[in-house]
Amino acid sequence: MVTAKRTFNEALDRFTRQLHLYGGLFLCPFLLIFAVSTIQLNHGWYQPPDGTTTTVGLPIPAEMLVGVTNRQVTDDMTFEERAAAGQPLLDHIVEKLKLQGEIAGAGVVRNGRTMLNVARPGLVKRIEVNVRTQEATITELRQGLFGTLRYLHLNPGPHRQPQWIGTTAWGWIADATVYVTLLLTLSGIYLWVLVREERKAGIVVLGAGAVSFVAVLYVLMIG
Amino acid sequence: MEISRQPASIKKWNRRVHIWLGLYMVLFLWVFSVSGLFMNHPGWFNAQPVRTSVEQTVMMPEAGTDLEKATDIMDQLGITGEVLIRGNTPDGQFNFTCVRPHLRQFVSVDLTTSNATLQLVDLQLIVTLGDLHTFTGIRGIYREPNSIRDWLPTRIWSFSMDAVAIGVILMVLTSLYMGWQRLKVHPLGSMASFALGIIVTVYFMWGLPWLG
Repeated sequence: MVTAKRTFNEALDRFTRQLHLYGGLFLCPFLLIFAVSTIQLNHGWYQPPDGTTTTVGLPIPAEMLVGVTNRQVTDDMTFEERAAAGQPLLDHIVEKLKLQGEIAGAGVVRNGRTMLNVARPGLVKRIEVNVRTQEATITELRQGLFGTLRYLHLNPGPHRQPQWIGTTAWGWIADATVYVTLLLTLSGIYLWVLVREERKAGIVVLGAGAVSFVAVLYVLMIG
Repeated sequence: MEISRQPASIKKWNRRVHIWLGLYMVLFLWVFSVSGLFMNHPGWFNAQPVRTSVEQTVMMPEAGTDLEKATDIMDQLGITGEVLIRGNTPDGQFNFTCVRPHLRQFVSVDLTTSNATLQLVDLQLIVTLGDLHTFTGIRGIYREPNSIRDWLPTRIWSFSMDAVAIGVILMVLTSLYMGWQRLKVHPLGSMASFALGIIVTVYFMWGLPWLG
């Protein structure tokens, strides 16, 4: 009975150790992404992107513009109605220019122009379509390494539902980072308890962390 | 003898630093992790804030910067927090917002009557968690022309964010060292899990921008 229990405990220890090791190694790059971008965001450090602008021809069928160019009609629409009316034009621009990314834009034409933003990690494209001249001016803003880190930290985020598969997939990774982090902290505490020589010092450090955490929260929320 | 003792000492201290950092930061990590998860899934909860409003006569300070005036009025109203001054106040009014992670306090002073309206928006726990995640005092979303951290607890929390981020980087470095040490014992699992993490990261960092 004692032997069976010991065998089980040894197997559990070994399993937890391997889980902690493998989970931690998998998570290393994601933790670095979130940690480095945290420091950036915390200090508002922002490097302006490198921009290049090109203009290309973009034929637009006349029937696509009927519902979105008349300001008297579109001004009376709700946000949802306007988005629905502009969707065919938006889809047409995205398809013709082969755009991929998180798209922001209503497809409504004002003064003969419509604008949209297409964003993905490291690259934002601002597109201004002139429906009279049937031309699209595309400004590509390359965000660089730190801009990419910032983008990954902020997306998907609380303000918009992801439409693009890339953002959705990154959302899964961000969620997985949280779940694995929680697992690593719990397994880490379990493994720490097993190390007899670190128990006393660990309790002091754990206590110090808890006290500083509660103290900071106290001054933020109550004090 | 000296040479053979050196790696054992580094190994021991590396593990010790890893354990101590992890234990010290565990509560911070839980808050930032869980709040990050909730922020990515706003539809999971429907937390409606509780709004209340009070009015009080105040003495409008005549001199000083907008921040100094706002701080003076906050003292009179008995409120504390990070001051946000957006600089788009209508004529005849002095408006500012005082924020804490669980509370928005909108102050509007009528300069003719010296009557201050204080609107309190009490946020629910879930929103408060999200606020803790982002409470740096200098967010672009605040739209302040001159953004500074003007409240001591904001500075402390902001410092905590930096400290946790640096702590996480150190945790990663110490874990890589431990992973390197364990490579002989678990070569396949260690290399596979690390390589998988790197491949996924490279795909999202550099693969997606080149899609077209």
